[in-house]
Amino acid sequence: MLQSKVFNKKTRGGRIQKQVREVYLRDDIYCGAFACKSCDTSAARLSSPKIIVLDTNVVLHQIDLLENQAIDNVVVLSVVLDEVKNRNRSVYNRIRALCSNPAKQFYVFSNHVHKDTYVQAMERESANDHNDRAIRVATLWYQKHLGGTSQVLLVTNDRENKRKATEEGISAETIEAYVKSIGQPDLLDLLAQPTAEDITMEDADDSRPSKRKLVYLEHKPMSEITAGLHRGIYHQGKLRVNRFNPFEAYVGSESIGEEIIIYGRSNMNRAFDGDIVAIELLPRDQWQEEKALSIAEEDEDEDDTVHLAPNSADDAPRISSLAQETSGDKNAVPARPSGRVVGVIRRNWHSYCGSLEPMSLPAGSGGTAHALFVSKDRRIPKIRINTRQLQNLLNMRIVVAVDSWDRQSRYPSGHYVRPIGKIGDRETETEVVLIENDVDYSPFSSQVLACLPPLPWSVSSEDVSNPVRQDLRHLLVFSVDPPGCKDIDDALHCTSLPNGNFEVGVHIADVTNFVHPGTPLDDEASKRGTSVYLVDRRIDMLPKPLTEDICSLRADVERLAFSVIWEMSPEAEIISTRFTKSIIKSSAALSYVEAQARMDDSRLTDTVTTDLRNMNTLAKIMRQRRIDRGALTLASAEVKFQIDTETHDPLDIGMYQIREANQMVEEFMLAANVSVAEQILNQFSSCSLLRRHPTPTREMLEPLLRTAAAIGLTLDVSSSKALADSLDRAVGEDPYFNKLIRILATRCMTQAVYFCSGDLTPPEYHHYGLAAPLYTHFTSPIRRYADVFVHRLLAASLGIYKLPTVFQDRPQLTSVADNLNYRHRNAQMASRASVELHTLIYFRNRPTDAEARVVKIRSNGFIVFVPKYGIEGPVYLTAKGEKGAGDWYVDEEKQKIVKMDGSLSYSVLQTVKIHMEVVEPQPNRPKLQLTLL
Amino acid sequence: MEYVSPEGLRLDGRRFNEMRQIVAEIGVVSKADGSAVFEMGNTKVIAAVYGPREIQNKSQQLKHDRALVLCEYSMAQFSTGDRRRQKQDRRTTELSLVIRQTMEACILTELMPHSQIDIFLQVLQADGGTRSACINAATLALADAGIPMRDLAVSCSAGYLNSTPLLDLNYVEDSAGGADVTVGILPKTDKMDAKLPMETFETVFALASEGCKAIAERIREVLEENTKQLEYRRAA
Amino acid sequence: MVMRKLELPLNQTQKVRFERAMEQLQSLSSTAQNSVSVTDSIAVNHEDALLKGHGTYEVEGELLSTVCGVVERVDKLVYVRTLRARYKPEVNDIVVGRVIEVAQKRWRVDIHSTLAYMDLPHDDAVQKRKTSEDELNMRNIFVEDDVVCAEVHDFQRDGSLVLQDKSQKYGKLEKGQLLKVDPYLVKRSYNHFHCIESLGIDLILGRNGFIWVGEHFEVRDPMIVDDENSTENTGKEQSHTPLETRRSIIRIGNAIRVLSAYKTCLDQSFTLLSQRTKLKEDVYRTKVLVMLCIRSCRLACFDLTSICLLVSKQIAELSRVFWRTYFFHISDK
Repeated sequence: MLQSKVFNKKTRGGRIQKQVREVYLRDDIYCGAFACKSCDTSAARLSSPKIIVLDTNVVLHQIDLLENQAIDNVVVLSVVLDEVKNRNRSVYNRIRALCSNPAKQFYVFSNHVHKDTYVQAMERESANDHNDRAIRVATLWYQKHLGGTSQVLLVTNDRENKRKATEEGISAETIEAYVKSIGQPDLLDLLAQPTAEDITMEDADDSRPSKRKLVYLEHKPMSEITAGLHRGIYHQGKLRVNRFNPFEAYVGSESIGEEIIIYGRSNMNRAFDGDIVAIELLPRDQWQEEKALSIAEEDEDEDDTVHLAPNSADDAPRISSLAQETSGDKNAVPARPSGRVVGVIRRNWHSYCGSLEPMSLPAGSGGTAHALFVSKDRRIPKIRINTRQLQNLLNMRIVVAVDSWDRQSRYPSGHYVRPIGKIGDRETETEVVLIENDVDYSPFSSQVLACLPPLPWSVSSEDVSNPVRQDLRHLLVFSVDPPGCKDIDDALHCTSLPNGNFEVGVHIADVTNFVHPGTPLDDEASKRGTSVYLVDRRIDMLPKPLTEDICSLRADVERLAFSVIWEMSPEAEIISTRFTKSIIKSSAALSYVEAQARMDDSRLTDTVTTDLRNMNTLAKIMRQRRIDRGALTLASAEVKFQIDTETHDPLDIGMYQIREANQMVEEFMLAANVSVAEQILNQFSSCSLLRRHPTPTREMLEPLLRTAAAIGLTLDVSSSKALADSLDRAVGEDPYFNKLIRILATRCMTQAVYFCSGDLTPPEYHHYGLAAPLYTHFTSPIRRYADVFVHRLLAASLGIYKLPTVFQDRPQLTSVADNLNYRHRNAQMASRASVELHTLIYFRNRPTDAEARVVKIRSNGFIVFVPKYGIEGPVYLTAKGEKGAGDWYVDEEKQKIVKMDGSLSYSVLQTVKIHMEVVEPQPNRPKLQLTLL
Repeated sequence: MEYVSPEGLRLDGRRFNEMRQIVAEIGVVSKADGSAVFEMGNTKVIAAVYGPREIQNKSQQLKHDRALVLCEYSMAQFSTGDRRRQKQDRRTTELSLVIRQTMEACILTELMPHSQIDIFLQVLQADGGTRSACINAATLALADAGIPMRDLAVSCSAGYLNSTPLLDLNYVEDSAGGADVTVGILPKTDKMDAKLPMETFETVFALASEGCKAIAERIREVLEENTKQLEYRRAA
Repeated sequence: MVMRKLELPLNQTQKVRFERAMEQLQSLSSTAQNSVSVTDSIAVNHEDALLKGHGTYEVEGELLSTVCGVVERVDKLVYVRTLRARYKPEVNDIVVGRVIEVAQKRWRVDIHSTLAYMDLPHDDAVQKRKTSEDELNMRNIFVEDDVVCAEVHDFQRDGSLVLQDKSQKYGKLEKGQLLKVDPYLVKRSYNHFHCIESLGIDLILGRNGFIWVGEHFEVRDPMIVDDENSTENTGKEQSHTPLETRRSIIRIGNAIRVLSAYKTCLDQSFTLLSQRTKLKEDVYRTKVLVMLCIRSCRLACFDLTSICLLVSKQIAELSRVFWRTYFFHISDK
C-alpha cells in the first residue's frame, strides 16, 4: 500500500484555511472487467469487450439516457461520482442505483485512490480541469491495462476534454455520436439538449437566431457571488415559488432574517422552485406593493384556481401580509423587501409531469419538432423540448427533464423522458398526482415479496408457545374502523375488573413480527414511509398480503398483536400500564356507524355493546381531561366521495361526519401513543422517534387574529389552553360558525413532525395540538413506517428484540425521521390532489349552486370556502383584465370589500351564494370556476 | 454524508480496518528524562517525561506507598487549521485526567514511593485520534525514561459510521458525530462518546483492540531498536 | 536513527565515515542481543530457583521485563539493567550534586534523583555534639548552588537518602564545571576520581551522571587540616587559575558532552585518560587515541561544534580498532 499526501486549501466562512488530508494510494483496486487477467475478477461487472468511460457532464445531463437498457458496460469513475454528488444529489442517487443494479453492468472504479491513476493537483489548475485530467488518466490506464482485449471509449460532451483526450491517444466520442452508433434512433429523444458551452448537436438546426434579444440578466460568476455573500450585498436562500402564483417567489434568507419576495420571471432570473439562489435586494422604491403586482409581464393568464381548502399552514397559500399597508396610508413604503436573483448556487432540477402545449403538427412529420411543455406543477415554467414523435405526445401526459436555461431563451430547454398516459384520463391524472408527489407506486419487487411469510398464514404453535407472547385469545376484542377498511391495525378490549376498575387494551397489529430490519421488505417500507390514500385507490406501504391479511386484525381470526394494556379507574385514571406481544382473536370488526348505532341503541345489552359503552364513558372523561389540559379541537373540511363501483367516477361528495365512536377510538389511540412514547423515551433517551407539534408563533396566527378582529371576536393565543378556551367561546349565530373559526385556526398551524429525540431538548418535544409533553405514533404500523420504528423501539425497551443498528447512527436516524416527514407530507398532498382531481371530475357534468363563506378579502374579489365540498377558490368582483379595480375598495380594518358607491359590501366570514362550474379556458386544462350569484 | 463509499473505501482511501501511517521517534527532548514523538497520519504528539523525582507539591500526594503520576495535556496553537486560543477548557482537563489514569494504571508506581512522575503532552498537529496518539506517545516516553511498567499502554480509536465499524478515525470521520471508542489496551476502555449497544460495541471494540495490538507491535519495535542502539554504544 | 541528533556540520566524507563507524559499532555489539523492551518475556529456566531482580515482573509464570534494557544474570539473580533512566542510588556510590537548600542541620542536595540530604559533618575523632553554633556556621561550609561530591551513605525510611562527605576526597568542588550526562553512561567502578596530570585537571564521574571537571586539587593529609592551613587554603583559593587550565577544563568538558551525546560510555574514556598517565603504558595506539582526544581539545578552537565533530569522528573511527586493542592489552597483562 503506497501512500502520499495531498494539500489543498479550502475556504469556509469566507476565511482561507489550509486543510491537509491524507490520501492512501492502493494497489488493490481492480478494473472490473471479466476479461482482465491480472485483476481479481470476483467483483467484476464488465463483460463486453467494448467499455465506455463517462465524463461528469454526461452523467449529469444524460442520466435519463443512461438509465435506458441500451447503455451498458460503463465504467463510472469515483471522481465523476464525487463531482456529480456535489452538483446534483438526485442524479447522484440515480447513478448509484444504476451501479448497484445487478442487471446493469456499471462498474465504479475508485481512480482517486488507485496508485496509477491518482492525479496530483497542479498549480493553478481549476478543479474542473483537474477532474478532466483525472478522467483522461484513468481512461488511458484502462486502455493500457486491458490492452487488446477490450476497446475503451471515453464519452464526453466537453469539447476541450475531447480534444485533449484525442491528443493523448484516447478514443473519445460525444454522447450524441455514441448513441447514433448504437443505432436506436428513439434513444435520441432522451438526449438532453447541450448547453451553450458544450458541443452543439450536429443535427440541431439553429432555431434560435443570434439576433434574439437577451431575455434574462446574466448570472454572476460563482466567485463574485461568494464574495458578495460575504460582504452582505447578496443573500443566499432556497427559492420557493408561490404555489398559487408562479410569478411570485420567496427566499428565506438568514442574513436578512426576513423573507425576500421576488416578483416576476425576470427577477427570478431562471431560478426554479427549490433552487438555492443568491439574490440582491432591489432599491427600496422598487419594493412593490403586492396589490399592484399585476401579472402584466407574461401573457399567460395565471391566477388563483379553485382548490381544496387547506388543512394547515403548510399547504395554505402564502398569506399576503396586508397588515402593513393600511388603506389610508398608501404612501407608506411596504416593509417587505423584494429582490432579484443574481445567480443560482445549486439547481433543484428534476423531472416534471405535464403535457405539451397544443400546437399544429409541422408539415414534415418524422423529423424533430420543437414543442413547449407545460408542467402540472404550476410553479414550474414551460419547458422547451425537441421531439421526433410530436404526434404521439400531443395528447399525452409526459415526463420531461430540464437540461439548461440560457439567457436568450424565455423558457428552459429540456428533453422528453417517458409518457404517462392520455390527458384527462383518470388513471393518467392519478399517476401524475403520484409522480408529482414523489410517491412510489411501482409494484413490490420480487425480493420484497420473498420476505413475506408463506400463505395462507395462521398463528403457529411456536407463536403460541413463545414466552414473550401472551395469549389473549380469551379476551373479547373488537375493532372499530371506517366502513370497508381492510387494513385494520388496531383493536380494543375493555373488561371490568372485580375491584371496579376497568382493564382496557389497545391491540396493534404486530407488523414487526413480519418485517425484520435490514430485509428488502423493511428497506422498501422505510423508503415508502407511509401508505397513500387516494380517492379511488390505496398505495400500500407493505405488500397486500401483509396489509390486508396477515397483519390486519380481522374478525374471527387469530392474529399477532402488540398490546398496550391499562388498568383504569372508573374516573379514567391510568393505574398501571403494561406492554406485551400477544395473540388475539377479534370478535367483531365494526364500522364507526355500527359502533355508534350499538351504543345508541339502548335495547342492546350484549357484551360488545356494554364494553363499547364503558369505553365510551372512559373516553369522554379522557377527552375532557385532555381538553382541560389545553388540547385544541381543531377541524378540517374533509370530504367523502361516493364512488361509482363500475366507472370509478365520483357520484357524490359529502362532508366527512365525525361521530362519538370515532372520537372514542381516537382517544384510546392517543393514550396508547402517549404511553408508548413515555416508555421508549425512558429507555432510549437519545434515539427515540417521537412526534412533535411546534407551538405556532404569533405571526402565524396573525391572519386568524385579523379575521377574528374584523368580526369583533378576540382570541387569546397566549397558550394552547387559552386558544382552546377562546375557540370554545367563539359561537356565532349559525352552527357552522364555530367550525369555520376552527378550520381557520387549524390552517394557521404547521403540521406535527417526526423527530429523533436526540436532536432536540425535552421542552421541544411538546405536542401543541394535543397539549401532550410527549407523543409518538404507535397505532398504525400497517400504514405508517414511523409506527414500525416505534414498535421496534418498544420491543427493545421490553427486551424482546435487540435494537436494530439504525438506532445507533444518529445522523441516519435523523434522515429516517426527515424522510418520514417528507413522505407523510407528500402522501397528504397526493390525497388532496386526488380529491381535487375527483372534485373536478364530479363537477364536470354537474354545474352546482352552493352556499359559501368568505374567508379572505382580495383587492378584486374575495376567496370563498364551500363547506359542503371542502373547496376554496376565488370569486372575482371585477372581471379579469380590468386592471385597477376601480369600483371596489378594501377596508382592511374590517376585512371588507366595499363598492365605491357603498351599495354592496362583502365582509369576511359572510355567507354568499355561488355557482360552480367547470370551464376549460385552455384545452386540457379544465378548472373549476366560482361565480357569485 | 458518505464516509465509506459503496466500494468500501474511506475518504482518504483506507479500508475500514486500516490504520494510518505510524511514525514514532524516541528521545526528542534533551532536557527530559524520557521523550517521544508519535505520529498517526497527520496527528502528531510530542511527549516528555520527567521523573521519578522529588515530589514538588506535597499536598498532591495521596498515597505514600507509591509514585505520584501527573499529566499535562495541551494543544499547540498551530495544531489545527484555525489558530486556537490556549485555554484550559474542560476537554483538556478531562483528557489530561484520562491519560493520567491510563498511565498510572500501567506504571509500577509502588516501586517508586515518595516520588513523582510528570508527563507533558503536546499536540503538534491534530487530525483526529489525539487521545490515542497521546497515550501512545506517553508510553514511549515513559519507556524511554526507564520507568518500570506492567505493560505497554497503547491506544487506538474505532468508530461506527454509515453502519460500518471504522478503525483509527481521522478528524473528518471523528467529527461526523458517530459513536467512537478509544480503546487503551491493558487498562480497560477509557471513554465512550456516544451510546453504542453491546453487540456493535463489541465489533467496534474488537476492531480498536486489533488496532492497539498493531500499534503495540510497532512501539515495541521502536523501543527495541532504541535499546539496542543505546546498549551497543555504551558497551562498545 | 532514533538518537538525539547533534547538529554536526559534517561533509559528505565525514558523514559516510561516521555512518560506517556506527555500523561497525553495531556489528561489534554483543550484549545487545540480550536487550529487551517493556513486556518482552525473559527466557528463564524455571527449574532453577531464581531471584527476580529489578525490571522484572512475573505474570502467569512468565517473567516479563518492565523496562527497556539488558538482561543480566548473576547466579540465580535475573534482572534488567536499564539504560536511559534516572539514577537509582546505591550505598557507597560516589555522586556529585548541587546544594539547593540549607536546612536545619543538613543540606538538601540535588543529585538528579530522589531527595538527598547531607548531614552536618561531625568529627568522628572528637565525637562532639553538634551545637547550635555549628548550625549557624553551616553556611560557612556549603551554601546554595555549591557543587559537592559525596558518597551515598544510607536510605531514610521516607525514601530520601543521606550523603556523607567523611573523606577529604569529598566535599566542595571549586574551579571547574559541572556537566550532566545520562547516568547509565557512568559505570560503577573502582575509581571515580581521575586526574589528568598533564593538563592539571581533576575529573569526578558521579554515578548520578553529574560530572565534575575542575582544576587539579591536591588532597592533603586530613591530620594537617587545621585552622592555619584553612587560612592558607582560602588564600590559595583566591589564587588565579591559569588560562591554559581553564581552556583544558572547557575542552575536556566539551569532549564529554560530545561523548554523552553519542551515548558513549565515559568511564573507559576517562579511566583511560587518567590511567595512561598513571600506568605510563607505552601502547602506541593508546597514546594515539589519548593524544588525539587531548589534542583535539587543545586545538585552539572553542567552537563546540567543531570539537564535537573532531571528537566524534575520531571516536567513531577509533572505537572500532582501539578499544579492543586496548582491552586486549589490559587483559594480556
